[in-house]
Amino acid sequence: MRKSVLDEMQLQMRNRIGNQAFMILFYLLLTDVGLNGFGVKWLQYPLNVFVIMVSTMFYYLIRILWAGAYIGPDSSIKKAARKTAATVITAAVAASVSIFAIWKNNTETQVPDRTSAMVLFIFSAVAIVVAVIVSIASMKQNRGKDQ
Amino acid sequence: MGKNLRLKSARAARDLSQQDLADAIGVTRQTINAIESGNYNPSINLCIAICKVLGQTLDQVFWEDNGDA
Repeated sequence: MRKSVLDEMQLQMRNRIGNQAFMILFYLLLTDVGLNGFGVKWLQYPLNVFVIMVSTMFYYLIRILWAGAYIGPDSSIKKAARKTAATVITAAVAASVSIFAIWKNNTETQVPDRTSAMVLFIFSAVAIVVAVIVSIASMKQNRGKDQ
Repeated sequence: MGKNLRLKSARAARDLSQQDLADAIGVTRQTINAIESGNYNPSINLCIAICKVLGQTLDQVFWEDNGDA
C-alpha cells in the first residue's frame, strides 16, 4: 500500500468530518441569511461570512487532527515542517500586503476601503496560528504507545 | 463489533508491535489499534495485507464465530 497518502481509515474519517463540516457551513450561512431577513445584523457583510468560514475551517481542522487523519503513515516531521514553513511564508506575505494597503489608504485623502485589507490581515494571522497548531499536532500524532 | 483478539494474539506471536505491523502494511498505528479494538472494519485488501504479514489465512484472523473474532 502507498504510504505517502492517508490510509483507508484516515480517508474514511476525513470524508465523514468533511461532510459534517460542509453541512455545518451550509446551515450557518443559511441561519445568517435568515437572521439578516429578520433585520439582525451581528457583523457587517463580508466579515460575517468570513467569520463563519474561518470557524468552520477551524472545526474541520481540529476534528481531523483529533481523529489522527491529517498526515499519512509515511509523513515525516521534515515534510510537516516544510508545509508549515510554506504556510507561514505565504501568510507573512499576505500580512505585509494588507499592512501596506492599510497604510496606503491612511495616507491618501480618498475614502479608505479598509475592509478587504483587514480581512486579508486577519486571515493571514489565523493562517499562522493554524500552521503552528498543525505543526505541533502532526508531530505528536504517531507518538502513542501500543495498547 | 467485538475486539479482534485473534489479530492481537497473531501479532504478539510474531513478536510485532502495532507500529511494526502498521509499518509493514503501510497504515498508521491508530488503524491497527482500531481494528484490534473492533472500532474499525477493514477492507478486504487491508485484511489480506495483514494476513500476509502475519503468515495466516483470512479465516484464522478475521472469521467470526459465536460473535467474537
